[in-house]
Amino acid sequence: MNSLYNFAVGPLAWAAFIILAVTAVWRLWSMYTLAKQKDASSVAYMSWKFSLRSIANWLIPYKSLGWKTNPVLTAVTFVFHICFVVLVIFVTPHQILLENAFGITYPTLPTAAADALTLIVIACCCYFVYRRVTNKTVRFVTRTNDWVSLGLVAAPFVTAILGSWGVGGEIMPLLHVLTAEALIVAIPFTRLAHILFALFTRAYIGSEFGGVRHCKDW
Amino acid sequence: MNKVFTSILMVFALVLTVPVASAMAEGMPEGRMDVPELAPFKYAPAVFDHDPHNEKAGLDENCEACHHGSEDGKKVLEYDEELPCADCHTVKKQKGVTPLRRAFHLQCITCHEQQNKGPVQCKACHQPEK
Repeated sequence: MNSLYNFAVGPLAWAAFIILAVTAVWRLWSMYTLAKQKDASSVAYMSWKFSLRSIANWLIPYKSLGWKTNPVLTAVTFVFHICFVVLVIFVTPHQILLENAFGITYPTLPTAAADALTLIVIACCCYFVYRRVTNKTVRFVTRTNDWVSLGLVAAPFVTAILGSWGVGGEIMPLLHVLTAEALIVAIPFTRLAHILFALFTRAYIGSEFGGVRHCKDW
Repeated sequence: MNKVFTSILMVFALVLTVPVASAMAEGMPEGRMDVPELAPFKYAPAVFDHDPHNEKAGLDENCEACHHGSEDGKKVLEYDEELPCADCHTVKKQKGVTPLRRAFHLQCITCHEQQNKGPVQCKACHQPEK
């Protein structure tokens, strides 16, 4: 068990991050070449001003028409993403891993707060599942990729909370690390690629609306 | 898709049957590290009893396996019994010094990894106090 865990937090973690870095660059690069080839006018119209304006306005909850149309989904989306990022960075065991490996120290969340945020993330994932099943429009465009992406995101949080409750002994932290590494590697190849593309998508639409249609895109 | 969900559920069901006791090293007493400098604690202090640990690890009189000394602020391999760890390894970060918590973590985990014996996961040492 020890050697498996050591392998998972050591070489496998390095492999996951290196694979992510290489494939992320490759995905971004190939998307850029494709855009230049097939949609050169949009590339020509890209503007920092309209891009940042669009990104900034969509970062504010309920600022855009899109956010106003589905108020519950908007709330869940913002809560989910904020909790996700906060947990990944500020949970104590993650900081300790960084401290042991690189000497990086910073304040972290109390265990009870981390548990609460983890449960909130799992609840958000449940809502995403519920919405995909019950909303006809969403169900119509749902593919296996969406379910796999959602499962990959939920798995590290489920194993994290079970591990925190002491369920499954030493196997749970191992499963947590392995599922998280699966998630990291899957980012460029699944719907999770929005982590790489979201800002560029926003910039593209913002530039078109600002520079061509001369109107807001939020 | 149902097959996928069923197999995932089966894996979790299997995991639930693994006894938590695997985290408890056999024959290790429940003594704890006593390092008040590191308080307040987010996790219970690590389970550690000096003599039983060393007997189990076969360290005998090999103090230098864990301990070392210092001369003019530089690490020397010879163990200085009069010098508490926290005198040099301050809790707060200082240039050229490994901070106390990191020193302990690296000391325990690195050896456990190299020997492939003893706990390496957070809660295997920081067992919640009953």
